[in-house]
Amino acid sequence: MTLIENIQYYLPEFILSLKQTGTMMGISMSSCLLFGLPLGVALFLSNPNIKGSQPASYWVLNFLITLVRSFPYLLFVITLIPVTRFIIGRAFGPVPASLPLSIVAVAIFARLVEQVLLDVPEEIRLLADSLGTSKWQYIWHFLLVEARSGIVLAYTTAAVSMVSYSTVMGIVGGGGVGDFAIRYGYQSYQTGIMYFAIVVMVVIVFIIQMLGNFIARKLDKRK
Amino acid sequence: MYRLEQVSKRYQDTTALQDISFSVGQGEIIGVVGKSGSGKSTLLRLLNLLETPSQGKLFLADKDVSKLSKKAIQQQKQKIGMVFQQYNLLNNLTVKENVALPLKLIGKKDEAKVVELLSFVGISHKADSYPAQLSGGEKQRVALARALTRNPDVLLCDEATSSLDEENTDDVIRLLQRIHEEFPVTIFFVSHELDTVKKLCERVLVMEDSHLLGIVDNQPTQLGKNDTPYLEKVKRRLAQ
Repeated sequence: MTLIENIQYYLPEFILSLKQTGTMMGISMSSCLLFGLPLGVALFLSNPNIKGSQPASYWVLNFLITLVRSFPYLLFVITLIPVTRFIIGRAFGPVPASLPLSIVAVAIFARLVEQVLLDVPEEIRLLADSLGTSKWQYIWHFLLVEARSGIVLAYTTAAVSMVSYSTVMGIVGGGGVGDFAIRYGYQSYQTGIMYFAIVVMVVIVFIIQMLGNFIARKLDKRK
Repeated sequence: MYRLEQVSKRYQDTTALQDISFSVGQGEIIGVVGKSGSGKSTLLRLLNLLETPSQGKLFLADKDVSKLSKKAIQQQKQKIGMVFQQYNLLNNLTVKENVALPLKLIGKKDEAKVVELLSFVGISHKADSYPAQLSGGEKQRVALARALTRNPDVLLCDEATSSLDEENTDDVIRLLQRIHEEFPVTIFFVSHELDTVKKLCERVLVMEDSHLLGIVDNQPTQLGKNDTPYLEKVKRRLAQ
C-alpha cells in the first residue's frame, strides 16, 4: 500500500485519536485556566520578594508545584492511577487520563503566571496602593491588565507542552495522536503512518503557537 | 488640612523620619525638598496614608489618622490624588480608561467627568491613544487628570517633573497652577529641583537626614544662625 492508501485505511482510527487528544487537551487546558491562573496569582502574592507577602504559604505552594514538575511524567501518571480511579471512578480512557495531565498543566501554568506577574513594574503596585485598592481590585484591575499578553503567551507555552505530554497517555488508555503514532506506526512497522502523525502534531503545535502569539500581540499595548 | 505632631517613622533599625512637626492649610501649595534618603518619600507615604507613624500624631482634616478605622482610611485615601515621577499609567489601558480608573474602582462611571478632565489637561485628542504613544509631558498630563477624577482635597506630586525636559516641566507647572486656581486642592510638590519648586510653591519643607530642617517661605528674607549648609543653600536659591 502507498502512504496515501495507508493513511486512508487508518483514517477512522486517526480521527478517533484526534478526538481523544482534543478531549485531553480541552480538559487539561480548562483546568489550567480555572486553577492554574489563581494558583499563579497566589504564588506571586505570597512570594517573599513581594510586599505584604506570606512566605509560609509560598513555601507550601512552591514545594507542591516543584514536586509535580520534577516528577518523571510517565511515573507520575502511573502513581496517580489509584487517585484517578478514586476521583473519576475509572483509571483508563481519555477522561481519566486528563487528570494527571491537568495537574501537570496547572503546575506549569501557575509557575509561568508567577514569573509573568513578577515582571509587572513596581510602579503599578504603588499606583494601586495610592488609589486605596483592595487586593482583589489590585489583581483584577492592575496585575492581570498589565500582564495579560504575558499570560496568554504562558498559556500558549503550557498548551504546547500539554500536546507533548499527551502523547504518552496511551499508557493509561488515553489514546490520542501520540498513541496512534506508536501503535499503528512504530509497533506495526508503518513508519509512514508514524511520520504522518508526527507532522499532524507539529502542525497542531504551530497553530497553537501562532494563535497565542497573535492574541498576545493584539493585547499588548506596552510598545 | 494636615497637622503632624512630632511624627517619627522607623523601619526595623532604620529611622526614616524623626520628630516631624508642621501644619498645612486647605488650598496651600507646599514644596518638599531634600537630598535622596532625606525622608521625602516616607513623608509622602505618610501623607498618602500608605504608612502610619511609629510615633507622634498625624491629623488629616482634624482627624487623628491613628484612630480611624480601616474603612475610614480607605475613604480618606479617595480624597488624595497622587502623581508619580514615572507617571505610573497602565500601559494596556487607553488614556480615557486610565483617567476613568479611580472612578471604576469605587464603582462609579462618569464619562462626562473624564471628558472634562481630559479637556482641562489638554489631552482630549489623545483620549483613545495608549500611553506608549504619548510623550513624557502628555503622560504626566494624563496622570494629573487621573489624580483629579475623585475631586481630591489633596494632590501629592512625587518628583512629578523630574523626568521631563524644561518645556514640559513648565507646562506641568502651569497646569498645576491652573489646578490650584480652579480646584480647592492642597498640593504637596516633592522635588529635588529647587527652581521648579520656586516657580510653584508658597512654602517649602526642607528635609535632611530624616529631619525637617525648616519651613521656608518662597521668598525668604534672612538666613538663620543655626541653618545647616543645605538649608542655607535652599534659602539662597529661593531668594534669588
